[in-house]
Amino acid sequence: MNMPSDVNSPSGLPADHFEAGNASPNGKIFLPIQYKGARLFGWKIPITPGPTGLLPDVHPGAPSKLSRLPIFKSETSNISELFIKERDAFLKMKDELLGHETYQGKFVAIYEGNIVDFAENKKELAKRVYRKFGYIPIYIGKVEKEQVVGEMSSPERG
Amino acid sequence: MEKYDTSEQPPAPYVEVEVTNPQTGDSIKERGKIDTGAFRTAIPESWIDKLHLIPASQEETKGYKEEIKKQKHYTYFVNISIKNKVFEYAEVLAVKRNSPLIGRDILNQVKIVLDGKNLSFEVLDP
Repeated sequence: MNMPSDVNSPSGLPADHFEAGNASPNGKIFLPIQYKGARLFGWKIPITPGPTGLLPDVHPGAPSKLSRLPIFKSETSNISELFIKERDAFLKMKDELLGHETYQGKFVAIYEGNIVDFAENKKELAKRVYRKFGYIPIYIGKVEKEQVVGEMSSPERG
Repeated sequence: MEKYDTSEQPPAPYVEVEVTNPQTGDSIKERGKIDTGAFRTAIPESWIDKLHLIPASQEETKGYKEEIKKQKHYTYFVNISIKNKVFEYAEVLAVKRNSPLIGRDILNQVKIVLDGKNLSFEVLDP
């Protein structure tokens, strides 16, 4: 699989400086990833084993090891399509979720059309799901009747 | 105290910010406008690819005029650094602009003194 030359590594070196699977100077490993038809490029970040020596538990619906790698470079259109699918799944199930006390007023994380986690704090939920599943398209939505509309009210000269 | 940017009329307070993708470490440094009218911090759409960001959510916004159509924006989690203070996992909007807007989500976590008369300002961490 060819890697594009315009992908720069976090170390500042172009990605094609490294061969797939070889460690970069910062200890991370560059890997090309095929994820649901999207061409993605990721840095394999070492996962620290827990006290039992085992790797952290992964939700049963979690993707395979390879697709759990954090995404580094992506084709935006594919990412967008995958994200929209997750968002639509959320919108489809939202009415049902509103009827469940467990989810009311909370944030839910949707991956592959399923709720994979939920929390009261959106930031903490995001941190958790990216740590668990990798940096992949996951939709985080609030289970509320009407979405709050934020105001970006500053007029500017054109 | 820092000076307002007088290239904008009327002059406006801009502060140096660094926006980082917490997952990849990609970052961009730019001056962002202090905007108490914005409910959330916003970054230029063009930065999404540069920072290799993936959307996390979607939010609806409205402008200053009722007749301006509501718009939907993707949101992203980034680390924002201002004056050596890092705001981790700040959720930001992507908008059609060239520079970031520092909204109340960040501004309400610091102390800001705007001395409009002298066209100077100060960002403090109380």
